Amino acid sequence: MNKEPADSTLSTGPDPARSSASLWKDAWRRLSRNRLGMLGLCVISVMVLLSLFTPWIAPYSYSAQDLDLGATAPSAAHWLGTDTFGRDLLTLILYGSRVSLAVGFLATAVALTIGVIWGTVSGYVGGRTDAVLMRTVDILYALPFTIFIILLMVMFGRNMLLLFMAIGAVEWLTMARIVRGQVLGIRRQEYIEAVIIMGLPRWLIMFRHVLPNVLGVIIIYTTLTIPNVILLESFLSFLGLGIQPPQSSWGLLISYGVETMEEYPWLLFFPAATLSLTLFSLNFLGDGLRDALDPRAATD
Amino acid sequence: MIEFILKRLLQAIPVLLIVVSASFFMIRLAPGDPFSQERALPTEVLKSLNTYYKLDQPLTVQYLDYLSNLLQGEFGPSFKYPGRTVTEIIGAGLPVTFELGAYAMLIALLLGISSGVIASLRPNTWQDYVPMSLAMIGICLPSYVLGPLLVLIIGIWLEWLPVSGWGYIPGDKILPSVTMGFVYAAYISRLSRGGMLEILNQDFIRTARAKGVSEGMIVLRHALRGGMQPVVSFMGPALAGLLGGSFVVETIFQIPGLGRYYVQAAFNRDYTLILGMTVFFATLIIAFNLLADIVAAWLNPRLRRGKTAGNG
Amino acid sequence: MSLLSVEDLRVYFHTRNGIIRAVDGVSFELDKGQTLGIVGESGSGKSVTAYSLLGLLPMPPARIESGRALFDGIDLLHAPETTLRTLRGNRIAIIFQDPMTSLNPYMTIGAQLIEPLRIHMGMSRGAAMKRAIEALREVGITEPQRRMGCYPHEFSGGMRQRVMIAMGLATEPDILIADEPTTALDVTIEAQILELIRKLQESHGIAMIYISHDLGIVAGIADEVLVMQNGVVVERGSKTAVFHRPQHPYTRKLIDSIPHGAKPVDPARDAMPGQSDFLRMDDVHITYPVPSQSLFDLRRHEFSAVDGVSLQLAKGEILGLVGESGSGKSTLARGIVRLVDLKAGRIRMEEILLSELSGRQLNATRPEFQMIFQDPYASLNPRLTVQDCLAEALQRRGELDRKELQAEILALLGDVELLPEHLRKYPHEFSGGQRQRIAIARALALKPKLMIADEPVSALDVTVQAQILELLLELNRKYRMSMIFISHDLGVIRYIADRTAVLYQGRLVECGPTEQIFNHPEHPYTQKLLSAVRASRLLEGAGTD
Repeated sequence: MNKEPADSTLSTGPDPARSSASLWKDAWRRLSRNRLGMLGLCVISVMVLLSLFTPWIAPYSYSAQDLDLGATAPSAAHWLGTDTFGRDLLTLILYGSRVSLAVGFLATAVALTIGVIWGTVSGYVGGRTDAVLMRTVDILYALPFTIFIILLMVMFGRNMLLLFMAIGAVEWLTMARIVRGQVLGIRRQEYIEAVIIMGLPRWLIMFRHVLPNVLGVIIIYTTLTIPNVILLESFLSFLGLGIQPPQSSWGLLISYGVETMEEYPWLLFFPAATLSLTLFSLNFLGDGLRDALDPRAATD
Repeated sequence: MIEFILKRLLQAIPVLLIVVSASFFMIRLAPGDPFSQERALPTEVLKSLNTYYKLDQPLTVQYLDYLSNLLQGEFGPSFKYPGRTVTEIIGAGLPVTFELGAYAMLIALLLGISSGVIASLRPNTWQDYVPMSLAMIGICLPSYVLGPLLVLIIGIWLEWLPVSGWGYIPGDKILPSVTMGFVYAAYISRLSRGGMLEILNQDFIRTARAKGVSEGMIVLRHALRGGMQPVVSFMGPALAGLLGGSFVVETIFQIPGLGRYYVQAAFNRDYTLILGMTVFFATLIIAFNLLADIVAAWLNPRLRRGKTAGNG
Repeated sequence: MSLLSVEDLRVYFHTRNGIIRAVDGVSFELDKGQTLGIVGESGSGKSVTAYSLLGLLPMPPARIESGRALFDGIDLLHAPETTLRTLRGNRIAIIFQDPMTSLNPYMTIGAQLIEPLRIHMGMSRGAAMKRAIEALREVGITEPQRRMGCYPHEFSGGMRQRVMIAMGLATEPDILIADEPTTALDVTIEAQILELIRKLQESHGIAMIYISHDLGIVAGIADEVLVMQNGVVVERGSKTAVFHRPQHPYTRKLIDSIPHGAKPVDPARDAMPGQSDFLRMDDVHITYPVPSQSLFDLRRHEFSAVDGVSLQLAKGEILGLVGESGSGKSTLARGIVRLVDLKAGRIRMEEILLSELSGRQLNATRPEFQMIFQDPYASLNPRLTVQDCLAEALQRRGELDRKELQAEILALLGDVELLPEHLRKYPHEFSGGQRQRIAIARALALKPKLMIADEPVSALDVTVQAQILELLLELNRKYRMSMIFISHDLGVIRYIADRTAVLYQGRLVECGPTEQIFNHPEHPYTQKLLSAVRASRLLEGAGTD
C-alpha cells in the first residue's frame, strides 16, 4: 500500500471562508436569521426593562385613585384609560408586569435548578439511583397538581413565596425528565467513554463534558417554561386564588376586565393584549432557539 | 400487552392512595373550619354540628373512616348544601362537564390533526405558516382571555350566539366548547405537524415511495400511525388540562358543571365537597393517563409484541 | 437496444451554501439481464444517480439540470409523477442499504409485501397474499405464512433484507437497483444475501444496477463496472479490466487502498523478544442484565456476551480480534478498559491485575490503557477545540507548564500528521479521517502501554482507511505500543495484525499467527468466515504488482 500525505484540507460543507466557530456562535448566527425569534427576543427584553424601571417611568403612582374620574376610555392623560377606581391602567399593567414576570422567572429558576440537578444525576449515575429518582418523578407527575395548587392557595392564604414554590414544584418534573433524556443520550456517546477511560473524575465529566452539551436543550425548555408559569399564575389570579389587591398582576387585571367588559372593554383588551404579547414573544423565542440549537429539528 | 396493563394498574394504586391522603390531610390541616365563617353560632349548635360531621374525632380516625366510606363509593355529605351528598352533587355536575369536555376534545382533535397533518405535507408554505400562526395564537391566548373576547365580540356586539347557560338556548354550547377546545387544537396541531414531519423523513417512507405508493396512501397508511404518537402521548395531560380548563370556562359561561362547583367549594371551605371532588378528579386523571398510555403502547408494535425472533 | 440508457445526467443540489454538483455528467447503458456495478466512496454521487432514475430525490434542493434516462421509450428524468409511480416498484425496483430503517415498523411485513402487488397488478387481497408468501419462500424465509403477520422488529438484519428483496422482486421488475444492500450485514450473512441476489437475478432474468463502496464485492457480482468520483465516471469497463488493469489513478488508488495480502514483516521487532504475556486474559466472563419478559418472572436474567475467553498479547504486538455481531469482541474490549465489569475471570497487564482495580487506584492506572472508537463523529466532544481536547488529555498525565504543554501538543500533532492551524478548530469542521486522527492523538497523549482500537476504520472511506491503518502501524513501530485491533473486516485484520483471534458468540474459536489462521484455518467457523469473504468478492491477485 502506498503512503499518502495526510489530508489537511477541511471537509466540504459550510463556507470555508468562515473562521473557526464554536457551536454557540453558529447557533447565534442561526437565531439572528430567524425574524420571529429575534422579534420575540426584542419584545421580551423591552418588557423586562420596562418592568424593572417601572417605579421611575410609570406615569402615575401605584395607588393613585381618582374616584370622581371613574373608568374612562384611553385619552391623552391616560394612555390606556382608567379603571372604575380612576386608577391609570398603564400604571396598573406596568406594576402587574413586575409581578407576573417575577413569578415567571423566579419560579422557572426554581424548576430549573431542581430539574437539572435531578435529571443530570439520574441520567448520569444510572442504575438504581436512576430508577428511584425517576419513579418518584412518575408518581409526582400523576398527581393533579393544578388542583393541589388551588387547594394550597385556598387553605394557606395567598403567600407570594408559596406561590413561587408551588408553581416551581409543578414545572420541575418536566424539566427533570427532559434533562435526564438528554443526559442518557449523551452518556452513551463515545467521547464520554473516552474521558472515562482517561480517568477523569465523575464530577468533572458531568460538568465539563455532559452539561455543556445538554445546555442547549435546557435553554430551550427554560424559555418555553416561563410562559407556562406566567399562564399558571394568571390563571390562579383570575380565579381569585393568586395575587391579591392592592398588588396587581395581569391575571387579576383580566378578571376585573371580564367583569366590566361590556361597558369598559379597554379594561379587558389591554391587559389581555400585554399578556398575550409576552407569551408570544417567549414562545417565538423558544421556537427560534430550538431551531438554532438543534438544526435537525428544522424542516429544511 | 395484558401484563403491561396490569403493571400500570398496579402502579396507579399507590398514586391514588397518595392523592387521597395528601388531599385529606391538607384540607384538615388548613386553618379555619367550615363553620367559623358564618355568623357566630351558639356553642351547643357548633358542638352538635361537629359531632354530626365527626369533626371532633381524632384526625386518624376521621381519615380511616373516610377511606372506608370511599371504598363504598360514599363521599360523605356536603357541608355547605345541607341535605345533599357529595355524590349527588358530583352526579349532577358530571354529565355537563363531561359533555363540554367531549365537545372540546372533538373540536381539538378534528381541527388540530387536520391542520397539523396538512402543514407537515407542505412545510414552509402558507398552508404551513397560517395554521401554525393560529396555533401559536391559541397557545398564547388562555381560555380566560379567549372566552371573554368571544363573548364580547360574538355574543354581545354581533349577537350571533348566546353567552351563558348550557342546554337552555340552542347554540349555547358552541362558544364554551370552542373556547375550551381551541387551546388544545393549537397544541395538537403543532404536535401532529412535528410528529408527521419526523416520520416523513424516515427511510421507510422512501421505501414506500419507491414501491409506487401514492402520496395520499403514504400519508394515510404509512405515516399517520407513527406520526400521531406525540398526539396520543399528549392525550393524558390534555384530558387533565381540560378538567382544569373547565373551572374557568364554566365560570365565564355560567355553566352548572363540576368545575364551577369546585371553585365555589374552594371558596366556601366545603371540606367534603372539595375532598370528594379532588379525589374524583384525580381518579379521572389517573384513569385517563393510563388509557392514553395503553393506547400509545398498542399503537407501537414494538411494545405490543415481544422480542426479535430467530436468526439467519 | 438497451433496456436503460442514461445520457449526460447532471443533478445539482441548490443549498443555502452554494450549489453541490452531486452528479456531473454521467452516462451509461444497461442491457436486459446485465449487471452493472457502480463503485465510489462517499460523495461520489453513486446513490444520487440511482435515486434520480426513480424520482426519489427531494426536488426542492435537488434539480435535474440536464440529461436523459430512456427506459422503454420514457425519459425517466422528465416523466410526470403519475408515470413514474406506475414504474416504481413495478418495472424498476430498488432495495436500500439499511434493512432496519427501510421497513415500516408500524406495519406487518405482510401488509408491506402485498402493497406493490395490489397497486401495480390489481390483485385481490387474497391473491396478493398468496403471491407474497411465495416470494418469502423464494428468498428463504421459513414458515412464510406465519411470518406475514410479523412486524419488522421481530426479524434479524439478514431476514429483513430478504424481505426487502422479496418485496422488490414480487412484481417481476425489469430492473433491480441495489443500493449497498449488504453493507450493514455480517460477513456470513452478506455472502448468503449476495448469493440469493445472484440466483434470483439469473432465474428471473432481471437487469441489475449494484451500487457499493466495496470494489471487491462489485467486481464479484457485476459484468460491467463504473467507477465514480465527485459526480463523474472516471473509469468504466468489464470487471476484469477495471480490477486487473485499472487506467485511472483514482481507480488505482482505490484498489491499492484495499488491504490485501499479509502484513509486511518487521525484522526489527522479531529481533527483540518481548514478554509474550504482556497482557493476559484468563477465562473472562462478561454478562449484561436482561429485563425479564413476563411480569411474573421475578428472577434476574443475564445475557452472556463474553463466555470464557482466554487470550494473551505480547509486548509491542498487534492482536487482531475478529468476529461478527454478537461475537463479544467489543464487549471484551470494554471489559479490558473497565467500561464494564467482569462477571468472572481475570485480566492482567504486566504486574497489575486490571480486573480487580477499583476506585482511585483504577483511575490512577487508567492512562496505561486507552481506546479509540469506531464512530469518528461521536468520539470527540463537539464543544472542545482540538487544543482543549489534547490539553485535557495531557494534563491527566501530570502538571505541565504552558511551554511544555504546547510542545507536547505539537509533538502529538506531528505524530498523527495534523497541522498546528487545526488546533483552534472544532470537531465538526473536520472530515471523518481527520477526526480519527484527533482521537488517536488524544489517546496517545496519555502515553498508554496498551491501545485498543474498536473498529477504528470501519466508518471511513477506503482511501482514508488505508491512511489511518498506516498511521497505526507507524505508531506501533515507533512507540512499541501493544495493540488490540478489532474489526469485522478480514482484509484489514490480515494486513495489520501479527496474531489473530476469532470470536463467535462470546467464545474464542481459534487463535494464532495471522497468516496461519488465514491460510490454514482449523475451526469450521473460521473456515466459514473466510470462504464467505472469498465467495462474495474478488480479493486476490489485485493491483499493480
